[in-house]
Formats: sequence, structure tokens, C-alpha cells
Amino acid sequence: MIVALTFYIFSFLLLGSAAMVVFARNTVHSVLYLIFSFFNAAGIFILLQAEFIAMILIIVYVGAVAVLFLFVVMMLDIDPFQKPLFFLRNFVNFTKSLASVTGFIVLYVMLFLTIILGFNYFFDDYSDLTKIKWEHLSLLIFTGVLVAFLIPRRVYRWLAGELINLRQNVSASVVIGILMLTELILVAFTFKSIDSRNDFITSPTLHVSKITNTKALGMVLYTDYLYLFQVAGLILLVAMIGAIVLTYRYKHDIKRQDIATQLKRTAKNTIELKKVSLKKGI
Amino acid sequence: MQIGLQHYLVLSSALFFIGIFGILWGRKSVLNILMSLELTLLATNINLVAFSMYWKDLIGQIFTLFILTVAAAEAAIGLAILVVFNRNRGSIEVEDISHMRG
Repeated sequence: MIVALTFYIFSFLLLGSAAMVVFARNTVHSVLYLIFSFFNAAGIFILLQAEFIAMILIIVYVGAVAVLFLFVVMMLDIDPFQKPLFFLRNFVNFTKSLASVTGFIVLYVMLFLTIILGFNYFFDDYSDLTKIKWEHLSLLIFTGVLVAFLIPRRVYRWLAGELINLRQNVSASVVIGILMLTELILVAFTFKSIDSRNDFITSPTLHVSKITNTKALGMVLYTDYLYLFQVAGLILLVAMIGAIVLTYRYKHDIKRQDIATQLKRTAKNTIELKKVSLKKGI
Repeated sequence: MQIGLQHYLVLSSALFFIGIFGILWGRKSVLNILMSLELTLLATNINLVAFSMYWKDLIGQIFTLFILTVAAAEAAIGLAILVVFNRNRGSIEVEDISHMRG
């Protein structure tokens, strides 16, 4: 009960602050809501018993990334009221985006259903493509033809236009298409039933009473995933160097410290002793 | 009331679609797009950790760590590009970024 209550509090605050990141008019407020949503996500992670990730989330995101965002927002001097207030001022854009997201959700669900139901229906043995149940396939084709009639003519016209465009730069698209098709076939052939769940658990976790989350993570991260860990460090190094190189600006008209010149300078080649004759000066 | 895997999946997909919506709608300045991108990555992380706890397999949390790394690097580089662009052009609005005619 208390777990459920905590989950709902955290998730509602998370979703609310995430929505406010998108809808806030002032960009500084957006960044502050982003920080708040990261805090709530850390709470969700603690509920999932992933304490290390939760702490890393607070340190990395709230401590570094969000503060970086805040710095940039304040440095760039953006007009705080450039964004429209909710959907009233920019209704067309809002409806377009809403339609896109709805389409995205529908596509997502359809893809999910196709994969799950398709594999359940067509393959008794999930890894064998030869055992297709033909009656189900014919049902699918029938449904496809029905759906093809329901699609308005405008969509077909658009598709035809796209095909004409496709012919103009056919080589690149054919290469990409063949690659994607190969990947799909590969995925279909290597698909495994989820019933054999012990096969794909690569680094099993002990119960919380036996080992802490941080220790378990460290034991996996520094052994099995050592090279990936090093590559992650390399990515951070590249990001650091890239950010410095991008934002560095050399000014010619100011004096700056040159350490190499300073270190090269010795008493021998800078101080000169001169014999000054009496009552004459140099 | 039992909180199962489904609750976390619904939460993460809702967060993901909020992020996608932010990318599509908040097209006024690049900063909002970057922040929405962070939201989508956070949703991915929640999904991975939820499945990691469901299967009792740590690999999900390892991947979450790597996604965090890449997200931090991406934010740093993105903001650096943004600062340089603002220095050169004096604006970070998406409609002004059209020099490549893309």
C-alpha cells in the first residue's frame, strides 16, 4: 500500500513536471522543472531498488547536466516570453504535434501487436520460419486488403509522389532498404521464445539481503563490461575536448600567460652584466 | 495494491511520449528540444531499470549507466554548439537555423 502510494506520488510528479518542461513559457522554469523531474525519477529508481542509478542520476543530471543547462540559458540571454502560452496562441502547430504523437503511439502499438501476435500465431516453434500456419497468413492478407481499401486516395497519391522522389536518388535508398530488410530477416530468424528466460539472463542479481546494489553493479561492470566502461570514459573525454574546442575563442589583443616561454626563460639568456666605466654611464 | 512491471512501463512510455511531443512542438528554441531529448532518455532508463528488476538481471542497469554517460556527453556537445551558434548568429531559434537548406 505504502509502496503504491509512493509510486503514484513520484510518477504523477514526474509526469507533471515533465509536461511543465515542455509547456513552461520561461526557459529557466523549464530547466528547474527538468531538475524536479530528475529528482522524481531518482525516487522511482529507489522504488525499483536501483539505488546506485538513483544517486548517479542526482549527481550527474542535477549536479552537472541541469546546471549546465541553467548556465547556458542564463548566458544566452533568451527572451523569456518567446514561447506561446499553452496551445492558445499556436493552435495549428499544437494540433499538428498532437496528431504526430498520436500517430506515433498508434504505430508503436501496431508494431508491438504485429510482432507479438504475429510470432505467436505463425510460428509454433519460434525460431523456425518454415512452420507458418497458412490459414492465419491468409487471414492477415485479407485484413491487409480490407485496410488497403479503407485508406483514402490522398495517401496513395502521396505514396506515388514519394516513389517518384525515390527513383531520383534510388541508389542510396535501395542500399538502406536492403540493409533494413536484411536486419529484419536476421531478427526474425534469431527470435527466441521468452519462455526460455534463463537463456538470456547474462548477469543475474542476488537478492537485496545478500548483496548491495552498488557492489553487485561493480562486480559486473568491472569484469564483464570493462571494455565498454573504458569506451564510456573515452566518450566523456571526447565530449570534454569537443566542448572546449567548440567554445574556445582566441583573442589577439589581450595579454595571456605563455607557460612554455616562461619556462624557457633563464637567468643566463635574459640578464646581461655590463662593465660600466666610471663617470660615463652606459 | 501491487505495483508491477506494467506500472513502470506505462510511466516510462508516457514520459517518452511527453518527450517526443516536446521535440515536435517546442520547436521555438533548440534548448527546449535538448531538454525534451533528456526526458526521452530518462524514460528509456526507467524502462531498462524496470526490466532489469523484473528479470533479476543487472545488464539493464549497466546499460542505463552507459546511456547516462552518452546523454551527458550529448548535452555538453549540444550546448557547446548552441553557444557557438548563438555567438555567430545571435539567435537559437530553430527557424533561423536553415543555412544548410536541409
